[in-house]
Amino acid sequence: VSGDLKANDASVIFRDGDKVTAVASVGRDLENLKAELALERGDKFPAS
Amino acid sequence: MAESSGELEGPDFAKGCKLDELGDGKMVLGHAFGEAILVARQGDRLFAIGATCTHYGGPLAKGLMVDCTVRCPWHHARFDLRTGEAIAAPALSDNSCWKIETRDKRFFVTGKLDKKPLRKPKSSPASVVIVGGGAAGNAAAEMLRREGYDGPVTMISADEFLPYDRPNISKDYLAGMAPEEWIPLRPTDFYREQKIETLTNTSVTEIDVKSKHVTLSTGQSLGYGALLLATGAEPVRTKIPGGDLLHVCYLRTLADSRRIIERSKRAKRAVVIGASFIGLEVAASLRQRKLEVAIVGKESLPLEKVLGRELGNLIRQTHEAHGVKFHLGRTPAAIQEGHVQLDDGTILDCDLVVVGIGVRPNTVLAEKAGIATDNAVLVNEFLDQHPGNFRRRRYCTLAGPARRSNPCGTLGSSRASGADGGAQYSRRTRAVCGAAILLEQSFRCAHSLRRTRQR
Repeated sequence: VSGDLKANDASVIFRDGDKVTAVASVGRDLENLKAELALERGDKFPAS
Repeated sequence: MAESSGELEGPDFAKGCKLDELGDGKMVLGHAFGEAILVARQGDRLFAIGATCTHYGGPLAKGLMVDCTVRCPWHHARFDLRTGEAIAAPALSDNSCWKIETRDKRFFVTGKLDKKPLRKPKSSPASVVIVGGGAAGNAAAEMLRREGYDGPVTMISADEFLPYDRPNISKDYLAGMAPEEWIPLRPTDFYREQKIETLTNTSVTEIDVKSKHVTLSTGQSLGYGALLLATGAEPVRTKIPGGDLLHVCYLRTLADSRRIIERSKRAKRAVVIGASFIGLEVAASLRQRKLEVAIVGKESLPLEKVLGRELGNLIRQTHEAHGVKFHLGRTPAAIQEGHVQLDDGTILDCDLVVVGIGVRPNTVLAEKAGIATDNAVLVNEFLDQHPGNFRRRRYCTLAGPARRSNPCGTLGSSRASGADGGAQYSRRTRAVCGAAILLEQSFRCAHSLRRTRQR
């Protein structure tokens, strides 16, 4: 978990080993869009 | 930048703005001629399109620019910055596109661009039959027309209504916060204007791939040049005693949602069986309607299996803060008039029960037609499948719910997934669609489907 879930300002990063497989965000719409793009392109998720 | 005026935010692009204030890869919100406009820059190129997502009004300026596209921050719809075209779900309608000029190191929006001419496919089938009137079937029909296919298109739906915003029927609509006019994806006239024939209250009972005909529930036979299977899913039914009582509801269709709404008007207490997306959304909606709501789920936390412990906890706490009572680690043993009995003997008084324990893909028709399935239509990485008995045809699938096919996308709007308390506690919804497609190999009109596949 990156951020503060209780404050509705966080991303939850799901991993399979070292690989980020999904990202759930609360209150971080733009960060989630960037995560979506990173996952599509196989790039590293910035907050990971 | 010029000053903003009236209710429109940002500079007036018609008056011009300094070019060097808009960096490469940046976007800026402004307006011109009374409309909100987004200007984006990529190298020396400038783009100007409508600033509001055509899906649910998301602020595109707060989205993400990717190459020559912009993605909406709310539900990740995508628009082509060069044309305003909606290029990815859940947006159906294009955005406006504006002419932009530069002079004296300033840029100006000088007027709206006309709609681009229709494309013309290089080849196309004699006709297209779409089995299913959900989001996928509707999107496919629309995209066929957008791509310039001018042959007959027939959309066959077992539902009594024309395509509607299915995600909303478990959220704002069910909560009483969305008016009826929000629900249809398109007005009836749209299909007439687009020459898309719609057959509602009609199901396909059989596909004859050799003669290229489908048999309808009315007994009629309908020929096709290409066939799209977009049959979606149906709710899993509970098998516990009392599961067929009249006050036990499921939620899949608009009619289901209306039935729950009608029953909720006479109810004081509801039990929701299932602590996943539908169950949680229904619970939140019924709380909006002031019912006492209890959720029964076999998990130790709602959505834990999907989202993990941290988000599961957050979701539970948020729902509890809104008055929902959880009975987790429990299963219902029986339903009777006036109560649900759990496996530990607990009795939950209620006058309404809603069961949301998952869905099962509607693959029966595909199986009967000889298409390989495994709880879904089997496809390759291009969403194609070549069944052995008719190799020359192409099968694709949208691989179930489009938003769910990309975990990131699924969770992209926390409000939608319930992470900040369920969609009813905010005002956003998400779109899902599921489909399988059967096309002639030479037919290349599945543009939208290829795009959706990327999600």
